Amino acid sequence: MLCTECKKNTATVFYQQNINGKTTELCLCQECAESHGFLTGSSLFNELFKMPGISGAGVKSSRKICSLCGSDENNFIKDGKVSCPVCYESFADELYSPIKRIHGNVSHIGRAPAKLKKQNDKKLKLDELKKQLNDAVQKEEYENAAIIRDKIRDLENNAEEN
Amino acid sequence: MAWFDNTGKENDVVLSSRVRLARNIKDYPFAPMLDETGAREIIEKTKHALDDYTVIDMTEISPIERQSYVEKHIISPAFAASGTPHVLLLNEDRTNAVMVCEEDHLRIQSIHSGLALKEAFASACEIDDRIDSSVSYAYSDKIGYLTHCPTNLGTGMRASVMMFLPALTQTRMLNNYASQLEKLGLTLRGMYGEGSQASAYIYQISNSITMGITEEETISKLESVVNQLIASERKTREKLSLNDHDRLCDKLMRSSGILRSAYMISSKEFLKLFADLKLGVHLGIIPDVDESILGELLVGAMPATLMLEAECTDIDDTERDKLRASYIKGKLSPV
Ligand SMILES: [Zn+2]
Ligand SMILES: [Zn+2]
Repeated sequence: MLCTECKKNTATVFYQQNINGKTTELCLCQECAESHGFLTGSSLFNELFKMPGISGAGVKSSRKICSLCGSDENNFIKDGKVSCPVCYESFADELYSPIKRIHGNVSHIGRAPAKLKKQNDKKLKLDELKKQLNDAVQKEEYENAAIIRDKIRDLENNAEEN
Repeated sequence: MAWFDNTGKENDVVLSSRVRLARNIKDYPFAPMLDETGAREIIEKTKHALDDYTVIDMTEISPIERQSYVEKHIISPAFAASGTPHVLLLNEDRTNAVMVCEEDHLRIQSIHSGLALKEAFASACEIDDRIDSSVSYAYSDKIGYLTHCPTNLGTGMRASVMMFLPALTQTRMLNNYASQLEKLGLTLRGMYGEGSQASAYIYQISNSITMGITEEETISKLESVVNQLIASERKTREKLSLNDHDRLCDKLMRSSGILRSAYMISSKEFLKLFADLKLGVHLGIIPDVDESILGELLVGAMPATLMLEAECTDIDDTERDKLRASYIKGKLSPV
């Protein structure tokens, strides 16, 4: 995404301004952001979290705390970087829109740890077989249904072994 | 062999190809928030997974040795500067490296000479698979590999190609490419020198987006842009050389002459002259220098590597510039 100000550099700073109830969104490059005084010694994320509606100045009554690192919503991010992997879960709501702004989307495709990949493949296969079983039963193809049911059983037993 | 020790595909324009994967281990805070016990545990787990790799404890080697790894692009400057326990795992031919406890627990990287993104990716994946089979990675189905900096979420992969683009720089054609690259989710930056001002006309082009696009797609997108740049750079070199061949020959041969006869050369001056030498070698204007020594020369003339190889690390700038000049002279004189 290009900087909305100079239309030359990549925008790295995103800022919502709320003036007299009118909200405008700014997507700026580092340089333009600095010249607007948006980056005075703080980082992209520290700025992001000053956005209205995301994190007020400590006025929230219910405090979220990360179960792994003990960070709360005021300090789980420092200099644009997140404290621990679990923070991504603990503060998923707060992180959703910044991540979307960086990458343009919030859905990973590509490599995955082998264990999870196996589980996912198995789950997809099971879903498919269950659908086939339903179809077979509805069409009263009971012989076929029995075969599919055995396949499902095998697959599920297999999962327990691993 | 390390990327600078040999010549790969398209080496007149491409110096090296690198794929880096950022990985973290479940149940530990990211490296900067990690206590010493946690760091040691992660180091042990990784050493165990890659038991045939050489282990270099970064806290036990000198700052000059660390800097030399930076100059060889084997580690990041941040990794060299870290104060907490951190080790480097290196395979025998120094193409594969894992930085343990950089800002992410693991930075897996593979660097190959010339244009070899697919090979670098395959090597990085192999290391990734080996570690994956013995640890549990921090990963979410939705946002992929969890990383300290949200800009690496998703694949955690940064693929990059180091390119030598003198003709596109001098004709300012590179400026036009730069804005197109941004739209494609790619970043171009100078490799040597401050900020965006590249010295020696050496640039790094890499992907900036890591989510919503597979590793293979990212690599093929990068590769096709790199191929376009290669073709364009070659065509422009030809044009420049046709336009004013004599003046170009004179300029490049003068630089080559200085490199061979100077008594003192700063690294800044070296980079400038190196670019002329490299261009001259690839254009056939400087025929008596073998292109296979260029990578080694580039790395070998950098301050820390230079002093380390000569085993005199305690010298001032003047002595170092003298050492550099004699090193270069040795490299360029026929054996
Ligand atoms: Zn701007
Ligand atoms: Zn946390």
